[in-house]
Amino acid sequence: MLDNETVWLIRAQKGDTGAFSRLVEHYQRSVYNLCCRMLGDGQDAEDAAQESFLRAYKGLKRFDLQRSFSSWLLSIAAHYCIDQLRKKRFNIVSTEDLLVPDLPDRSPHVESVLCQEEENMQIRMLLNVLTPTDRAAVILYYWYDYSYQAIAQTLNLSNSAVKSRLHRARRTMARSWMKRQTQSFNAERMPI
Amino acid sequence: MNHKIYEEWLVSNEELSPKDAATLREHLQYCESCSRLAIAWKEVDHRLADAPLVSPKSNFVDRWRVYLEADQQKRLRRQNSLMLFGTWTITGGILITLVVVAWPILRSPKILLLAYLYQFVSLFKLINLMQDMIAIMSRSLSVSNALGWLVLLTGVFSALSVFWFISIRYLMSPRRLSK
Repeated sequence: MLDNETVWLIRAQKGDTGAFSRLVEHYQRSVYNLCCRMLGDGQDAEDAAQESFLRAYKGLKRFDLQRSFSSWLLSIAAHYCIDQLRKKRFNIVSTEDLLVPDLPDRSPHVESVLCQEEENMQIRMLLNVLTPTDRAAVILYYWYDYSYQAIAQTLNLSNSAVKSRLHRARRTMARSWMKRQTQSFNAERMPI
Repeated sequence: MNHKIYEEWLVSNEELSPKDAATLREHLQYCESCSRLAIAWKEVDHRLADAPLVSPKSNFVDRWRVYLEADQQKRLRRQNSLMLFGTWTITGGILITLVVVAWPILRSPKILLLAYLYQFVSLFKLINLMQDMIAIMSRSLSVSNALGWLVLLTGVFSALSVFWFISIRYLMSPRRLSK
């Protein structure tokens, strides 16, 4: 018996936009998260997610139903984001862009929102030091629990390349974290 | 001292052999930079592992539908522009070719007029010839079975009418028009 996703896929391949909308609804969070973690900006992530779904819709007739749809979709999104990063050179992000935005005061959730923003900012800073492909590999590894093989298939890399990229990425992130900790420690010790 | 191997072990998520693990532990006891890296990596790993999935703003699917529609409109406009450009190019090309070919004739219109006159006379001749042919055919048809011919012609015209009707229905179907 065919599951819902396969039914939607078959119908969408025949040009049923409604069926594809169901797939969009189902995968919106994972695609958006990938784009958001890759690009580091909500609006860019929204645009990238929309474009990824559009590309998937256009290329759906070529999609092999034996493959995993989520991997295929995430592969489209990852490659699109990598291209965007290479075009815009997102690696150079000013610290002003990374500041926590002003929040409405006296809200009961201000503290938790601030905490969440702080966490997100730290994650963004960590990911921003990586090259686009390394960043994609890290995101797929940590947020989607992909194996080396699945990451390799998604990013069109070899298994050993994924392994070495993840290794390099971990080392780079750890060093960056260490550097930031040292800087903040020195800043705290400086007399006012 | 080369710390590369220790750094690789530190950030590796694969299990180290007991011997390698012991060597790393021993190294971390006296190497400050590697132990700082180990602490930093633990922090980073912890943060990455705990970070939740980010959700888009509500009504993402509706916005996607609008995006899809806009893209389809854009594609349609591009197709129309291309078609218009193609038509204009072909028309222009034909016009230029005609001008180039007809240039010697246009320079001496007398020859052109004579040619047209000749064509006009030839047309009359052709019409005469066709009249003769039709007369011969009708004479031969009246000799053979006239009723049979009538039935055959009626059948052919009926079939053509049905074909025309089906084609119109197919072309005007709402599903086809909405594509």
